[in-house]
Amino acid sequence: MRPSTQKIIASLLSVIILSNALYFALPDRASAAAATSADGGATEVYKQCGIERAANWVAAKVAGLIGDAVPKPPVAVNSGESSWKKFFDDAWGCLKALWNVLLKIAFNKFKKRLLDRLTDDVVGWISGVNGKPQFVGNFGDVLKSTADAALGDTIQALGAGKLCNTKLSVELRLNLQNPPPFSENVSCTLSDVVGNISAFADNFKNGGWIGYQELNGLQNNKYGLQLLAFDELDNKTTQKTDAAKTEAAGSNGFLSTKLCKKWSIIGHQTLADGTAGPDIVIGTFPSANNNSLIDPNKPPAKIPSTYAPSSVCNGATCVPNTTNAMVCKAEDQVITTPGQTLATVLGNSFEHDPKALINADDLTPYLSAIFDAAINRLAKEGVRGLSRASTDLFSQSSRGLDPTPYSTSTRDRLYAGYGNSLLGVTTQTPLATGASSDMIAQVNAALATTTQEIAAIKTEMQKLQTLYMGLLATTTQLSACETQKTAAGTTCSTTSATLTTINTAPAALSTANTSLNSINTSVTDATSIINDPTSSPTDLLKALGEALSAGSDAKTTLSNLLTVEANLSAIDTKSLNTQYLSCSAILPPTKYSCPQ
Amino acid sequence: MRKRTIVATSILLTGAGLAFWIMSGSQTNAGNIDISVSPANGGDARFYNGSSTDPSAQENITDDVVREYGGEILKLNPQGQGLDKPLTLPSDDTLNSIISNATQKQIPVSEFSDKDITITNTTSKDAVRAYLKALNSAEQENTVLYSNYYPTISSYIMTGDSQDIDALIAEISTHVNVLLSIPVPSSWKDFHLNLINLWQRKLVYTKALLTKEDDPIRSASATQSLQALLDQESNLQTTFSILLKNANL
Repeated sequence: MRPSTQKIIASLLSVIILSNALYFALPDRASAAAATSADGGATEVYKQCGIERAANWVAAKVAGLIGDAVPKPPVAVNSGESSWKKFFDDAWGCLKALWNVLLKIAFNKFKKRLLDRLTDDVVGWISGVNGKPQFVGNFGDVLKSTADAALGDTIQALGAGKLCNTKLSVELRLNLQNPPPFSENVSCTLSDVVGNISAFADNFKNGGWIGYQELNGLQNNKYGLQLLAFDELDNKTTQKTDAAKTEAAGSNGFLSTKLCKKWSIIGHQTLADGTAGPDIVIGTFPSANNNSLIDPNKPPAKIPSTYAPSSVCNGATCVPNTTNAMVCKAEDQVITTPGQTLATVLGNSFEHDPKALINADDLTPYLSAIFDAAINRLAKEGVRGLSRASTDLFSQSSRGLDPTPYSTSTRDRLYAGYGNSLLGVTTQTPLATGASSDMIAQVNAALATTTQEIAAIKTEMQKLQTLYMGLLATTTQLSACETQKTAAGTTCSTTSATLTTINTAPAALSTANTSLNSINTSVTDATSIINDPTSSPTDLLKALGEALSAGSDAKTTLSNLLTVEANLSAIDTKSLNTQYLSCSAILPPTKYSCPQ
Repeated sequence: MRKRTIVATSILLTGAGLAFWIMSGSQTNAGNIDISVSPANGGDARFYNGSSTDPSAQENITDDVVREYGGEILKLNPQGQGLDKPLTLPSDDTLNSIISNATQKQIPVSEFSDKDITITNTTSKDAVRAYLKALNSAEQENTVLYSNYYPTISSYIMTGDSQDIDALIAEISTHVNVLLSIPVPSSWKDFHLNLINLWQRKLVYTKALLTKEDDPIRSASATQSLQALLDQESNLQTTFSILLKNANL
């Protein structure tokens, strides 16, 4: 971030902090609980935003001033300041409630977006840094480049060795870079040998027999040296390709990220006779974890002044190469992020289950969920690589391509409704897994109410049962007495009416019992859904529906029971007892007279 | 021969001129295509005059927050922490600051100026009456703006159903265009321009609410801007009362 930007942000933050302090010190014009209520603020928003029709203040003020042609304003005209003030306060409250809701949505979407962005950048980073893929797309190319690196190392080694004949070394380097076909190697003729012997004789003058004997050593004659060099090249190539194969095979085809520990300065030799010698390493310097020096594929632009190499090497004059002045040799590179980790992380990025993230209400557990997951392993190991790989990380793909607009990717379409779950919105796209904790809280709250109502129903059923049995015994006895002792030989009308009232109890109890079974089933279903960790928000909505429906049924059942109970309680049991005593005391031929 | 050369040259020049004219005309037509954005699709009334929207309007504030927060993570862990150490994460305060900062961002609005309205030089009472009559008529034609604005936006935010809010946006857009077409006496020019820009801001902020899914922080920011708009509307009412009193109709 540029200093000017930092200053601007710092100034803005100061203003924001100050204004926030003032804002919160002032009385809140809207309900502060808008976003914290059980339904995610929905009730509060609807309450705040169901604003009465506002006065059209233009019409209110110009009415009567502009002539008869003005049609009657269709809106309620109220020029009073109190009308506008009320509307103003209501509108302010509505917007504040909406702000709270949107901030909550934003916060939840932010969490998801952060994970998406991190995943995108990680995948982008794996896919290619500076156009160089971390994934082994063409294994043959990788092996070839590995062999090329081995060749380079061998040539460097040969250049650095104190060879008896520099000319041999130069020729050898040429041979190594352009190895002759195998057929040429085996078709060496006598003339070649003689030719070589002739050339050898030239040296013989100077070397004499001692020199001749020395030349018998492989390292000191052209052919022996070539054999050694090819052998060395073969060894290095084999080692490196084997290492590359092992590394790639062990990491599901991903290459590892490597950091350069030490840079070698390559110099150009000018020999004593004025001829050009082979390039050799004329100095080294550590990268010292400097971000600009740790990428082995990015040689520093210039040699640090503190590591200026000597101008004399092997007795010759050396100057750093103008091109390819610095190389990071394979042995000076260290693996920072094993390819296997990259593969694992990539897999996890694709398969990451957002469930834990959806349920995380605060950012801290959310981030813990992210960084405790496999992706954390890459983040921990690869932040260095990420920060080096892309200076505009989190802004666009590391591949230098424009990022896919957030709203258009398949993943984001699937999660278009993400964050709305807190609001209990029915239009949300169902997620594969994961349920909002707020929704669970809503279901739990509904279930708690229903459970209380179930208990109340049971209590009332018990009461009604007891009341019914008591009244039934007395009234049945009275009815029997009246049938036997009245002149008409029938039950008195008042007693019949009482019996009718009493007999509503069994029906009410039966209905209550059926409802209770149904309510219990709904409660059990809802409970099992919220206890099931794989329940989706859709399931939760179903559970919420069941719980609310059960609660509603429970309320109706309870209400019916209470009505019947009230009717039965209204029956005057004392009067019934008195009537029964009167009836039973009547002796023939006197007839019992029904009460008026 | 000379005549033939002149005629031929004239034909060529005419052709070139005609080609240039056609091309210029095509560009103008292309501009008109932009202008005639269907209000039903949330067309900005600003397009009515052919002005382009501010490019920064396309900026995704939520993405900016994510980017800034991600940058904080990298800033706190410049070298990575190795396998044995946890990452250092930005504090909640940092996030709150970033979000707060983002929501304070003003949503850009392309406002109208004097050249966009018809200003009449006369300031007679009749002219003022005619203006007020037209204004009153325009306001009454859009009664839904007064009766359903807040229930509509809240319904959209809570349910995600954009049908009503789309219609509302179209209506505000139309209203702005109607206001733009009303000739205004010079003494009422500033008021009229402020009124149009008030509705223009309302239009832009209401449209910003539609970014709830893709850019929810912009939506949140829009509610704050709408709150500020209430104050501006209040001030405009006061101005209106003073102007009305001074007009002495």
